[in-house]
Amino acid sequence: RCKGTKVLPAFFAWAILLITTALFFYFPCMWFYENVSILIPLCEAVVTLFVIANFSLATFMDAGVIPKASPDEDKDDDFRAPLYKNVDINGVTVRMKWCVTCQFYRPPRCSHCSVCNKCVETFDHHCPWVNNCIGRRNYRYFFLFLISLSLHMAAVFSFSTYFLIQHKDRLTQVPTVVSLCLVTLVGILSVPVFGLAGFHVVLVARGRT
Amino acid sequence: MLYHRVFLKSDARARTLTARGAPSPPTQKVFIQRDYSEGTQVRFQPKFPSELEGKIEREKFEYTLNTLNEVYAEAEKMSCSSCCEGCFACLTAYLLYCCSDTHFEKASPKVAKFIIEQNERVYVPRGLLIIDPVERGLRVIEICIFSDNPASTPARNN
Repeated sequence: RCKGTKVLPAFFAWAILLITTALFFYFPCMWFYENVSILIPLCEAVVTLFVIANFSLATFMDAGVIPKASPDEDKDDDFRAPLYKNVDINGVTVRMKWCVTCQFYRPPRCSHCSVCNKCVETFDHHCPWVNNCIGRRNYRYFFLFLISLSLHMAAVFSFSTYFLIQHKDRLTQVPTVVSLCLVTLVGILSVPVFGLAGFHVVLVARGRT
Repeated sequence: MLYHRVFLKSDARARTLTARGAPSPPTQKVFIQRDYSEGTQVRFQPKFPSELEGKIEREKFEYTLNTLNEVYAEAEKMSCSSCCEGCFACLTAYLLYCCSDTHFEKASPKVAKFIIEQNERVYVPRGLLIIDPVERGLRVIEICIFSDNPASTPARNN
């Protein structure tokens, strides 16, 4: 199994984020700073900082991995241990499944990630763009990353479009071409990002993952 | 890697327990499971296990368990201060976490200190040893039972 391919989506995500942000600051943003107000690049810098901070923490923070149980914990033979164990939570009966890999009954809302080969508490999903599981400890950073990224993309799209409209008579110049590329790329990528952000807003509102 | 760490730490503690020289592994281990009856928060069953009958007084065991449960409940409690800490951390781009631990992480050293103190005063003199549940991913509290009570047996020659 080539380990390099696991990192590839995350590498692309970081590359796209950093390159488009850098291009945005260097080309359209400079014009806004000179002709409109310093507040625009300043606010954009703050949003970018949030995006990078949340993206980093979602990537590097342990999701809530439960370490594999050592053999001395398993009193019953692996074969004889029932697959499910019932437990009562506030009067509701919940089934806990035996995890063959980790050798314990999975706590409620815990799930086994096949990519990382570990059990994760309050497991949401394994995100390839972040190259990490999203679970109890880093869900808030992942969620805030989606929200701040949506905000950042909306801002980049809007300001770049405004810049294009203001410079429509100078379409062959480099800043205008770059803005056009930014508008196109961000416009296309905003569909999955906004969709995922909206989906998670609904999940959080309903208290489900 | 964590699996080896658990064994190394248990072994190290087992060796310090039998200060007379020969390290002896525990003859039995009791595992106190999580108590989910009131929800998914961290809480261990305060029921007295039958394997400890005659080895330790019920009240002492219950005191240990209840205190641990209280520390964890306090750590997970949502309060104004923990919300503010979260918001402030977000506003500083999480640089706050370079300087201080989260509200929950502050419970870990408290639990560790309490367990060391209980082991020294109550459990080790009775031939028992409590292992911090954090080493088992907060799933179970492990209690090791050693067959020889070091306080009562004379030095053995192996």
